[in-house]
Amino acid sequence: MTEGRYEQFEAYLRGTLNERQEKDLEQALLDPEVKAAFNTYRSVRQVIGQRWQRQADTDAFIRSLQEQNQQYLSPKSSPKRYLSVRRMVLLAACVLLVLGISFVGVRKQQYGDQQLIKHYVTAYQTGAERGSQGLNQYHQALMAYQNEQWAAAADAFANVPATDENYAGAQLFAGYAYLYDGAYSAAKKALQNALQYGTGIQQQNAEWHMVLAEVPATPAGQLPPTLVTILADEDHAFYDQGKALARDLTSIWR
Amino acid sequence: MHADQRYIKGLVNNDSEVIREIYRKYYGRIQQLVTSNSGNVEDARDVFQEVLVVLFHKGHEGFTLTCPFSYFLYIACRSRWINELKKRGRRRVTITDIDGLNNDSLLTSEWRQLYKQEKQKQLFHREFRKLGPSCQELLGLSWTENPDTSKYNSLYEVAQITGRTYGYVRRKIAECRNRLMQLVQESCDFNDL
Repeated sequence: MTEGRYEQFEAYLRGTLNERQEKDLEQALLDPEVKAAFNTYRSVRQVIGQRWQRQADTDAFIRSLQEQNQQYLSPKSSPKRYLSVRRMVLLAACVLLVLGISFVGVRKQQYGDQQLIKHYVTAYQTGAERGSQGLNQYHQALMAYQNEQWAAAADAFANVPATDENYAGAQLFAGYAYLYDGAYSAAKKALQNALQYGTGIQQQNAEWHMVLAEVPATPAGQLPPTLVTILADEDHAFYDQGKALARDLTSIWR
Repeated sequence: MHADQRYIKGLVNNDSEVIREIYRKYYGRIQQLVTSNSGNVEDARDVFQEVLVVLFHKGHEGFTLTCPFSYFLYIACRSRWINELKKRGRRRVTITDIDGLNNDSLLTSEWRQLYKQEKQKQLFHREFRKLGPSCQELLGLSWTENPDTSKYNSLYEVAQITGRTYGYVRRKIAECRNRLMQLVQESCDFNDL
């Protein structure tokens, strides 16, 4: 576009052309190339005029944004934040406290009555493992026992008639199942029967589990009466286990 | 007009409280958007600032918000970041949006229109800044409306303001104008507009 044409555009936009000059320009604007050049010129002129007028405002605005950038945003290489010694000590103390509480909680749980009883139950290795003989004839009771359905197993074993040749073994297993189920009074009753009608090792086993059935009712710091009896007999089959249980019962974690 | 127009007004007035509020409330999610989509914190800062500058200019030109500011800002930054990724040679750009916010075709289209206009203006202004200070001053004064008379400054007035002779101003303005138009038309981006 020629210099004169821009001069003409400028005069037209300022409204300083006379009528004839205006008509000449309007005629020239019928040419798409001139029209496009006029539109560009008008846009450039308008943008520069507006931006020039608010250049100072724009510069101030950009400065404000940059200030916010510095104030609110992480810098290019964000400095690492180190914890103060006081905060580290506090943090470590909190961690230790949480660990300590968790540890005590776990230990308390381990030394709870039910956990100790489960730990010390020592099933008499006869009836249930004799295959086709002995208690195996009470299939349902054994299945329930093996499936840890303690209440069902306990009831099934407890219902074995006193005339049955395996009555003492059945009472013993009923005692184990009651212990697992937390029915300590029923366990004592079944174990008492096993003690009365069982023989040799069955009786000692029944005695040992009687100790376990007595644990929940024994005041803190004391030993179950049957355990005291066992500990008085070094030849008792459960003497060593009795000593271990006595230690656990008097442990600080209980 | 949406109640959040106050944000646009705040930007136009360079209100530091509003600008701070905008950064505090909205920058985080834009940073998350950019950094989750192949960008870094610097990119996020640039995109955020560029969009705010566009809104500043558009606000001056009477832009009216028709939706929540936060949403418009998100769509604008999202669109701007997609463009940037494409410019960096990504053939396919898939954006992972922040939960609860996603693309909105109408708003995206509105923003693209705004941004296109702004890009054109930025091009003109960029070429203008290539002129010497004297040319910038003379053209700037010549094409600026006098706030008192609402008319463009005449060459006599420009001569008076700049302390130069009318002849010099007339000749120099013609020279600067031709140079600027030449720069604009030779600009690589001009034909893309």
